[in-house]
Amino acid sequence: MSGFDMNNYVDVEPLEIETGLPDEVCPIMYTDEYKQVMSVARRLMQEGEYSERALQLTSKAIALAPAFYTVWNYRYSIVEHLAKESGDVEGYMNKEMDWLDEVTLGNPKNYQIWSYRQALLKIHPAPSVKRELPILQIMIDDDTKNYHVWSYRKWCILFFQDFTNELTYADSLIQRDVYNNSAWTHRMFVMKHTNPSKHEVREEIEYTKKKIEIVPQNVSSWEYLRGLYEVFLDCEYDEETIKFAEKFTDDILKLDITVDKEVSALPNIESSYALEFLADVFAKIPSPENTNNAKKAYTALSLKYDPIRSALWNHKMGQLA
Amino acid sequence: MSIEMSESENIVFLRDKHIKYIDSLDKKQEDYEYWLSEHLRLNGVYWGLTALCLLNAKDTFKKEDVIEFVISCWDERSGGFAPFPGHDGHMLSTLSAIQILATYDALDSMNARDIREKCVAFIKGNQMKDGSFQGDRFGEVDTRFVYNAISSLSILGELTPEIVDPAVEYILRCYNFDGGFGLCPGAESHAAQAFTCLGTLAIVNKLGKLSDSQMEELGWWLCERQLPEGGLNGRPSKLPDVCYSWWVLSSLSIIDKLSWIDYNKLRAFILQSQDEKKGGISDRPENEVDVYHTVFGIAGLSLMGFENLDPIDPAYCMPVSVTSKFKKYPYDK
Ligand SMILES: [Zn+2]
Repeated sequence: MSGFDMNNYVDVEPLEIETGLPDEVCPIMYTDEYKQVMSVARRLMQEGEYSERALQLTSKAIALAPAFYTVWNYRYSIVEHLAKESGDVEGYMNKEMDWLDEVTLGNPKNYQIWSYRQALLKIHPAPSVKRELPILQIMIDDDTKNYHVWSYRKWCILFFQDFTNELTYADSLIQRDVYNNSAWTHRMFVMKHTNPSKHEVREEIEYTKKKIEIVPQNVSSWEYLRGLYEVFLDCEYDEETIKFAEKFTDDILKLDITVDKEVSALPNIESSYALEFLADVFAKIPSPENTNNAKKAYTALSLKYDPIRSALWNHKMGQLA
Repeated sequence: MSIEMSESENIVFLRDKHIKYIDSLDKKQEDYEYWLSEHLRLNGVYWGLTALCLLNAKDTFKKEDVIEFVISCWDERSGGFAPFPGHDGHMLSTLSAIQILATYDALDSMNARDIREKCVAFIKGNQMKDGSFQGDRFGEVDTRFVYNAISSLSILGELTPEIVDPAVEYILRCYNFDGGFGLCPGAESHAAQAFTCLGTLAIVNKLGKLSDSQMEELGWWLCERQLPEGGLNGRPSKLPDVCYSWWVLSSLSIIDKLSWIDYNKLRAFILQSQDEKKGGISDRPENEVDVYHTVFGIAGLSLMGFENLDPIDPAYCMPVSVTSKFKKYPYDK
């Protein structure tokens, strides 16, 4: 931030840190600037000074050590005070959000930023979702799986109760990277909160299948498909979806598969997740034929398509009637 | 296949080098980096100490100095422990402080200056109406803080149904359709959150709140984290990382499904992430080591029973020799 000048703090007696370690013989050699700024910040925090210069000092301290949450806490208290004092809380808060945008762009991995943002929005007299979407867009573009940014986005959507952009937004990220699990789970978050009709769920199933057609070996889209049936359709899997999944398994369930099957006799298949999906579906709908199919699917997973989890598949097989 | 196996069996666990590496960490006060990580210092001490305990080298740190440092981190204003003197009290560092003191059997050092009472009040005061906990008065909510609170209070023997029941309800709301747990209700499933949620339920003896099918789904989601190369990731389509050896394995251990992981392959991945020269373990082979990945790599190996390490408690992430003395909730009247 411009305007920062250490000369504004000459009257503040620096508060040095003491670690309490008796053998602290080693002189503390971190940079002079860091030391100077932090020791003044410590003093101001201790005195509880809520002033423009204190605010500027926190900007400097945050620039030097963005993860120092104590300074963020202090800044929040300063802003609370100064916003009231200014007589224009909204204007003041907007200015603070502008500053925060800048810091955010420079510190994509820091998560204090997002909880600070939430805290500001809660005391902002006229918060707006429109104000939030651009920075969210930039930050997710920068790191499309950033857990904290996605969590903040969800918080925002709930805070403003505005789900209108969300499916489209998640779709834009899935178009960019069909493996983006954050975007897939964002769709589930939206679906769960918007009470979709049966028709809308069907459409969502079709959407998911199209994405699976593009990349069949994708755990996120298969998991989502399974989730749609479990959450909205009471696990009532239809013939069409079973046929759809079978397309990616080279009809291996028509083969005779037992534990002593030669691995080399099993063909390569397009998607082991399709086979997992089928195994799960067949295990859930009891009939002699389905149980037999589930058994074959688990055996094949264990033998060839996902051997690292053979203990899991053998366990699942043991649970079949 | 057999060649691969014997190769991984030949990698040696560098016990002595790890001890030296951890011992060297606090002697780096001249580094700028060291001071920039002030906000994690107490957590770092806990990670280092826990690793040393598992390596059977607890005496490497000077007990009196560490206890004195922990007490100097107590933040009288909030009542919680800060990660470093002069910082605000926070739930994360409060748990680290209590874990360190418990490991040294030194919880009575909290009797001075009403530290214990004020600390318990700090923790309880951070519970929100919905049962969740914030990290400090600033309001960030995360299942990590629920875990911090419940584990801290459990170690101190201060759990009550008023605290536990709403916290459990909150945790259950964080369970997702895919079989994982998120940081808050609706958030993407993440392996670290599986640990904080299952750890909480285990500590308060409420794993029974999860149905059998939820347990099955959880086990599936967790073991799905193992990649064909052996390492574990934290979410689908992410790279493997040694710290998930802890978050995933401890979770599987809590729900009694540890055997769903391929031990030998995971062991090889962890051992390949060691620094052969200076000791320590990194997030994945060839990267820079740090104490965080060192302790969680070692803890993972301990859970799998490798390298003759001291046993670790999957719910508390502390040596079993320490946690076996904790009062089990619900308490007898
Ligand atoms: Zn990691």
